[in-house]
Amino acid sequence: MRLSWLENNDNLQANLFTIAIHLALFIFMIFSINWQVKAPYYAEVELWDAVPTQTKPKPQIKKSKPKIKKTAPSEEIKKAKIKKDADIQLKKKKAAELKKKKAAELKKKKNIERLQKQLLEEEKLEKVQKQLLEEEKLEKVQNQLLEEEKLEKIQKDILAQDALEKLQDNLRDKDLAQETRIAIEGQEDIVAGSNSGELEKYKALIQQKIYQNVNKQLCGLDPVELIYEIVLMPTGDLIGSAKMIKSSDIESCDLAVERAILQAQPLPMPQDGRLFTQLKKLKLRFQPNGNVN
Amino acid sequence: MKKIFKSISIFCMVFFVGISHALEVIEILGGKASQIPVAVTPFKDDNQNKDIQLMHEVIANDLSRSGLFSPIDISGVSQYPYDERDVNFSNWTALQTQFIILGKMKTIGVGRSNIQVEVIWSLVDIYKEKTILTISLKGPSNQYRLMAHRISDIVYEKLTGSKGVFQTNIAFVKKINPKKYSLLISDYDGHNPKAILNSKHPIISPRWSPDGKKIAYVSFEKRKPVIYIQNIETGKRTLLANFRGNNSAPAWSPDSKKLAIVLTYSLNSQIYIINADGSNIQQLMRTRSINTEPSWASNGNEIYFSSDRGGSAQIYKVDIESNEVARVTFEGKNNLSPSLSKDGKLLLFLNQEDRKYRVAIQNLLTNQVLKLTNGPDDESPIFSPNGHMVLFTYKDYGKTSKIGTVSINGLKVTPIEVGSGAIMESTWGPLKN
Repeated sequence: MRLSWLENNDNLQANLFTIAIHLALFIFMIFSINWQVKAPYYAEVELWDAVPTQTKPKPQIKKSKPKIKKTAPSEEIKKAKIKKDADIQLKKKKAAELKKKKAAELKKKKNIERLQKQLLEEEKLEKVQKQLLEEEKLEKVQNQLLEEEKLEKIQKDILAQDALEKLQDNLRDKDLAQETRIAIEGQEDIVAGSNSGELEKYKALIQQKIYQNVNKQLCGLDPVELIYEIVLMPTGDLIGSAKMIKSSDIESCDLAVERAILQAQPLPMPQDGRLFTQLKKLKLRFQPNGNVN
Repeated sequence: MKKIFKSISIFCMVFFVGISHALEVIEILGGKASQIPVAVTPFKDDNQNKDIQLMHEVIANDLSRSGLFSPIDISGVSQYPYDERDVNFSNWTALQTQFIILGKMKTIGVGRSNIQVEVIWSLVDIYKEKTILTISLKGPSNQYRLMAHRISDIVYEKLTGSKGVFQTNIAFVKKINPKKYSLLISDYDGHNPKAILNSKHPIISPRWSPDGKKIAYVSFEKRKPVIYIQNIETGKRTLLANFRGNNSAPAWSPDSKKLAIVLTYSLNSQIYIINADGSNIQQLMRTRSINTEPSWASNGNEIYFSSDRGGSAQIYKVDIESNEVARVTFEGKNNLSPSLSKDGKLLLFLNQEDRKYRVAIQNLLTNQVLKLTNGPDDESPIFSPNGHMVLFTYKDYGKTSKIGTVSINGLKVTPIEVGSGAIMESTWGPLKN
């Protein structure tokens, strides 16, 4: 009942509440919780059985030089001194002579060594010269062998050329039966249809290799068309020359394209004999400056 | 029955033969711009004449400069062939050369001041293993460079189908000091220069007449640009244009009878056509925009020029009769200094992009543009008479003006050495008959 005045007075209540809150905050700020975790303090200690005794540095004693009383030398002493001096001079002379002797010996030794070295070097030189001569001889022999190899190669080339010419003649004179046989083989392949992918692959490879060598600069700027026919060996080399079917009417262009074909040898050829028969004779159509049509 | 069997078998044979003739066809579309590898071996000389022994080097340099040939390194070859019979084809094939030029020379007479020599040389095809041609040339030994250029021309024509330009001349301006300018004529490679005009005032825009007799140029000797025509042989000069304002950019008509010139007679630069004797001057177009740098097409009916009528400098062509104008270049920020190849198929010009001026060509059939140089300060490009090379001015690293050639495939840029000093404003003379 006594506090009824307080209950009825709202302002006072509010003020008291504010003061109480502020007091609580003040107390909290002073005695607030320290959230930091303090690491315990460690001290590293070494345990000794006994404390070592420290030796005190000895005090340095200044040594005073003994004072010698200077007395006048007697005659005996003087004589002895003269004798001593003469002995020393003699010793010095002997030492100098010894030194000279030693130096001369050393010089001699050095000279001998130098001569020996020279001799050794001369021997070495002789050896090197001999080696060089031998190497030259070897080179000559090798060159001779190479020459012989070259000759052999040329002979082989000539033989191969002869063989090629024969082959060409044979091909030119091939009979109807042979043609028919090739055609039948080709027909079989077409019917089978098994090698069409491979055929296209090799055609693309041949096209790419020849294209790399076509120097279109020699064909002017206008669109031109050239057609060549070639007959190939299984190695991809040409049998005879490339036969021009259609000219570009520009001599330099015709020759440039022919060179491109020759330069592309050996052309990529399949291992499969049946596929080869389809590619052994080809028609090459060139349009160096783009599509004619 | 026998007859039926026989007819069937004949049919089958004909059918199969038909198939056998259906060859596989391979289409090869396009090609590359490659160089022909060629070996030029030293010519045999029994007299050991030092100058004449350089002949093969002159030939190799000529062919290399054209951009169509690449002379191979022959320093490793132990023995050179002097005769077509000495050629070891397998060895030269291994060196990947397609042709070999070889020869020998002998003294045929001794004159008062010179030795007459005969050079017998051959062009051999390595792939076909055959001699294409063997030719004998005679001349004084001190003109060995001219003989070498002649050999280069013959080889060039044989293998490319186009005339070589190795015996032609060029003209250029040399600035000796700010008060001394010379107009010089030399061999196409800068050798044997001779001054045809010395002046205290700048000389610009020399243009060789198609008949090869005269050179038109702009001189500042009247304290403003005026156009002169000078006879090369006599040295006689005629003042062609000294009208009010600037007189500049002379361009010869294909018949050497007229010139297109640029005058600032009215408001700005306009193109006029004038007779070579200075008579009958007529304005070509009447526009407000700048029209300058005229170049005559070889058909004589059109003039290519640069104009700012589209906002930036571009190249246009005008029909002389109808005055109809058509824009020609579209690529690049600015395109200037047009010049036409003799066959009218290629347009040469200066292309400006990224603050760089480069020499470029446009194929007028396909409108394809090829930049030939990297710039950045290239100027005054002009075609060689066969249209396979371009003569142009460039700045070296010290920013000194120099001249050089570039092949139209862009594969070979070669400087022309004409001594010290600034070299500029060059022009190429016509082919000699």
